[in-house]
Amino acid sequence: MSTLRAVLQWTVVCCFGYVLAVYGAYGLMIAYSAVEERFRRRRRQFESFDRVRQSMLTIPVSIVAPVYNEAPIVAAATRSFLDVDYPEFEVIVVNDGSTDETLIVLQREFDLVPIRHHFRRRYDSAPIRAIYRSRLRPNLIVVDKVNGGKADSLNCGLNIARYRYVCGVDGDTILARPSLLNGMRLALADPQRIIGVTGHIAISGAPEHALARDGVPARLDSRPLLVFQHIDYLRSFFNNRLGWTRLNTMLCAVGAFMIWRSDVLEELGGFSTTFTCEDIELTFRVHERFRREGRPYEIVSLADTVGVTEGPDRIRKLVAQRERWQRVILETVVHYRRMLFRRPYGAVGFVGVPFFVLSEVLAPVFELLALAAILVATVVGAIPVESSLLTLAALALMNGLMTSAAVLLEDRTSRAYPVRDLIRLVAFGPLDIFLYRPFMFWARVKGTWRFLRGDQSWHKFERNARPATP
Amino acid sequence: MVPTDVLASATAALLVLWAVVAAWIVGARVRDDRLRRQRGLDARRLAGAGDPALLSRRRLVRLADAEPGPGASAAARELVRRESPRLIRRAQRRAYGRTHALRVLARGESPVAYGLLRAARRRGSADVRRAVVAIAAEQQTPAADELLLDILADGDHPRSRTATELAPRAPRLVPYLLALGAHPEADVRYWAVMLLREAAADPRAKAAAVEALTDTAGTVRGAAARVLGACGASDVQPLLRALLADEVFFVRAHAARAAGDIGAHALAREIAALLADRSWWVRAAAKESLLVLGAAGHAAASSMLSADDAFARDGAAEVVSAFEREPQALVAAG
Repeated sequence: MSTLRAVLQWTVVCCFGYVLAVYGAYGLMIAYSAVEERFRRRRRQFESFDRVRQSMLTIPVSIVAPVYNEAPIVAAATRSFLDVDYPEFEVIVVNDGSTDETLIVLQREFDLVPIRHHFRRRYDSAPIRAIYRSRLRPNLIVVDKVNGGKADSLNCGLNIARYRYVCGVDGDTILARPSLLNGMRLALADPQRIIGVTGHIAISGAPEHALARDGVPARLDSRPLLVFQHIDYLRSFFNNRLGWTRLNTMLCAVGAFMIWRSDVLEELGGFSTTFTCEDIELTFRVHERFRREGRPYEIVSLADTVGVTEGPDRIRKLVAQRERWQRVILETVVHYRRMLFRRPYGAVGFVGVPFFVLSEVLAPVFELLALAAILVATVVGAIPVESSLLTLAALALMNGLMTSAAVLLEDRTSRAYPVRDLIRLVAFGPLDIFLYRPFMFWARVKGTWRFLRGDQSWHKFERNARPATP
Repeated sequence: MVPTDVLASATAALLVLWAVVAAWIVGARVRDDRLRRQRGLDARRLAGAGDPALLSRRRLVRLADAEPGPGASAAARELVRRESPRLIRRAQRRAYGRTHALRVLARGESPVAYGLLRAARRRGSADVRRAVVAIAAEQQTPAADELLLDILADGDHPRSRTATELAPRAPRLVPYLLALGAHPEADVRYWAVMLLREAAADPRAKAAAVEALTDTAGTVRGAAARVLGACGASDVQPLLRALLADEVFFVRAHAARAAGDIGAHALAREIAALLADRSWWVRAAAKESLLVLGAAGHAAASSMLSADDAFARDGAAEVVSAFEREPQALVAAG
């Protein structure tokens, strides 16, 4: 019995050590994020968006949106891409062999006509069935191709894209009107050095209804599961990505909104189709190449909300999505493990990748271990019940503080949400360890297991149900 | 293991900390909303016939350093009247905070504002220079124009950003831009010519662009082609014809687009020949240009349908099919 107690106690001590290390890393990253947010806010006080918007000197952008079975949202999403506030851009929607009415909806909404279009085939992609141009919006091109996956569709869109910058977006994302201007404003500040830009995406059950009249995200979904996901995204962007920007170790320019200089994509051969997901792998690949060759570069995250994407409204769908993310992280980290603690990779190798390993790769192992150890230790009396409960409460409050930090950074930047939503976000903070994290834990365990089995399927979650339009 | 009472104290401390942070977030937001409303009210009042002398210093500072407008200018003038020496002292500090004092002095039309802006530009960091450019760009005065042109020439702030600020005022800066067009640095000449495009109605801009067609730098020749396209005069067609055969690919691409912009029907055949260019960018520009040229573009593209070069045939077929799809384009532009 005493051996069991000793093992349990040491397991709990190890897990406690891990928790301290993770929270320490998070705390450090929040400090960097706060410095970066202050720096951005300071810069913004002396920037004229109007002049950049009206200038003929602003560099044009190609927006590329791969869509697969997005019929309920594709029209609203495409309209939001076309309505972005930017002097010159084109929108290329790539229908990746959808089996639903996605293409029909696009044809109906935008009056598409087939065109003959010749382009440079810089990247391999599945065969194209037809290319259409909209009669209503001349800067909209729709490509209908054989199903080949998201990376394949992005590569197809890149082949057709004409401009020097490419903005990849998800087909279920509603872009805020100033999103492209915000992103390009950063890129244009130093076009030689800044090669990639990403930004915060808000979550909603029905993103097409989540924008205010002036085209910026302004409403928090009322469903708790979506509020928790929103908090998760807030923490990921404002607590981590801003800090990564400060350290130039941005590890994931998210697929829902990523601006890349097209010459960089061309040099790297476009998006990889051999990984389950394309965005994180591309970001790692950029770091690997540029660091190895000692070239100056930056991948930055905006401190602005650039759009709203659809979050799963059912736990089953959420777990399916997050287990895929876990697999993607593991695939990428394992593939690029040579960057870990290697001098040529600088801050990415010594801070970024270790942070990822600590907070994402090892998390399910320690979470599982901690859960089992605390449970058994409490049952056999190795740890008093009060201690277990107090530890849980302390962790919940630490989580609450992390959430508060993210909410604070977001609110100082945008002042977008009404006070009522702000209170909800802060109040939900300590609850997520009880009501949300258990599902994330399950998804991570499942994702890790599937990664070990070599599963690379996408498991796309079905679209949320929407009320019938009158 | 950690004793229960220590854990309890730590949890209680965390609870208090969380509650304080939460209250601070919400409180700061409520306060900010109130101040924003008040600032809006003050701005409207001062933009009308309101007397700025009636406002407290704090309210004036908040307003004078906020979004530009008549209210902000009135508040800044009042602050300059009340406390010019203090503002000047702050504007001479080394810290970034001086930029706010600089903005108030410039908006308040202080006679020392531009001297201080120039000093800040010389001694300040990249962020201070960025602020100096933004402050000068707000002001429509000759001193501001001069400062921005100096920054463009010296290149101590990204030239593309300075040029963006200069673009709306380019028509009144033509003499200065012509002088910059003879600058020894090719990048400065490029931006000078690019800005002349914003003053395309001025005959001096066209003359300068014609002169720039023989520049040694391809970037400048490309910019000159764009200016000529914006000028819209048909007498530049012979000049564009020479540029269509330039050795630098982007000059050929700009020349092709410019020929489309001015409706150079006489150049349609030369443009169609570019459908076989070795550069994809030139071929794409040629297609766009032929589409704009209407009937002449259609005829020239049709003649390339039997070209030896596969790229040229594909490009021509694309142009012809676009005209078939939208026959009104033939009439409209042709």
